[in-house]
Amino acid sequence: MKTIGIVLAGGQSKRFGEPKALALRRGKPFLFYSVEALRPIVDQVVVVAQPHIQKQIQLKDVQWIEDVSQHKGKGPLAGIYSAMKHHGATWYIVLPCDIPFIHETIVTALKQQADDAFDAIVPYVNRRPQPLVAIYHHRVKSLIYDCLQQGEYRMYTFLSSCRVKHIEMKEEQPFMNINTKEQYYKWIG
Amino acid sequence: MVYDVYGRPLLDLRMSVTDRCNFRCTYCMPDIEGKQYCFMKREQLMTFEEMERLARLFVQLGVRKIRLTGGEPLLRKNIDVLVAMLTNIEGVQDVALTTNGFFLKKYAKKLKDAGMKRVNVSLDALDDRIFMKMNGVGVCSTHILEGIDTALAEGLTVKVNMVVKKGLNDSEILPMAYFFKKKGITLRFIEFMDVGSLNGWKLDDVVTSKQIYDMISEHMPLEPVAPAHVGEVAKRYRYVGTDVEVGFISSVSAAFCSGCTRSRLSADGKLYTCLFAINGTDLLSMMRAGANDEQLLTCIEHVWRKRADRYSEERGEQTAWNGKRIEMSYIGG
Repeated sequence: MKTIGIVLAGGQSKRFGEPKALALRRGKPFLFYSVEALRPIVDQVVVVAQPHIQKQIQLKDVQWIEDVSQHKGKGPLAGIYSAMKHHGATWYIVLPCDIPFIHETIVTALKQQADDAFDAIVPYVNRRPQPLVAIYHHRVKSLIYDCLQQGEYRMYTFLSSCRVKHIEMKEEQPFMNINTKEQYYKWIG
Repeated sequence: MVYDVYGRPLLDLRMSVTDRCNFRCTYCMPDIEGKQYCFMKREQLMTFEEMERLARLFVQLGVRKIRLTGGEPLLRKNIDVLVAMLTNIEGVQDVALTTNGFFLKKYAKKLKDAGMKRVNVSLDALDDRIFMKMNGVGVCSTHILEGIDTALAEGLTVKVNMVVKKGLNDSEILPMAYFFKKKGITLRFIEFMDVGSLNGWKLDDVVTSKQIYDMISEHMPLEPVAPAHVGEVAKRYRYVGTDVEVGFISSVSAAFCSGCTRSRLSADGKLYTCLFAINGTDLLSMMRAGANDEQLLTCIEHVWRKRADRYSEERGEQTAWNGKRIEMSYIGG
């Protein structure tokens, strides 16, 4: 069963002030942590980002793509759809580029929960869903397309019509995302 | 024709094609914190072939009109294919659909091409603050209005259904009435009902048809329209001097059980004889266990002949029932 890893790095990092994908933790760009957490587990890693990010980063065995033109820069749904359109697979494991504490064990645990009866496998941490650290079945592609065509870019609205398998996860840190400089200095320094 | 215990004929079939929905309307599938909706697995759902087969059998027993519901029916992939299959059944007069309108822009043409003539769109408010609160996912009313316009442009007849809940959207009664009168679209007001066990129904939350009628007729005089057929649920009126209609579905204040000719099939193939039923007859399991048409016909006929439900009339002024009950999102209203 083919599995593709999608790293969403197309955001504007407005609150952060500079591209988050390139921010460093222990000398490594945030993006690397997501790519490395996926690499051993998936058949192919696809990074959705603007070209200027790609130019500043060297990553082996990674496919770089941009959002499809009609939905450029329209958030995670557009990114996931673009990756699904470029690369066919049964399952897609999605990660954002701003969770530098993510590690392989989380992704492995998620993948073990993949279940064809569901459209999405979404972890819950502290009772909060983490739809950007989740697995999606390829059958949701047409639903995402319909949402995008309607100008509906919110993950929440899309997910409300999916069959979701919820996975309770205890560890919080791997899911922690860095949105602001304050968070960066507090957690990474 | 098959009649039940009270002499009500079986004339209508409502088929839920999915229990999934992209909305979380407060009166149907409320977004309760921590509440996760476990939608049916795909293998539990009837296939189009299974639905077509059952529809054909219901038509043999006298059904003339089929309505597709959900969940949100337009979330079922290639729904237009099913519509075409159903409109092709000999004896079917009408295949219609009830939708939240979100995906109508995409599907209107496909539905029309498949032979559909009418759609009902649920829209509970024009004011976005209210509508977004009611649909639970922050969708704007303009989005739905665009869907309605697309449907009209494709030549579909559109009716709009508005569920009225006191203190939530009763302020929208008049704006909605003005708006759809101007557009020439029939608007139907539905009393907030105690379907399911999640919506926290109280009789106090109901704005009655009479109250809504009074509100509207104070500004725009209304005259009654004769019912078009047996078992019509809406009491119909016309704005005086126009041919635009408005309807009242008084499920609570003037229950219409005695004229109810509807059968309901859930997306997992269970037959229910009342919106407020507790148990259904599992036709899908029978089919998958190899039942032939004869056996299925006998079963459906048997269920209808012993049908004695008249929940809304029996409920009267009492508070809602507290026991187990099917949800609106499961049976599609």
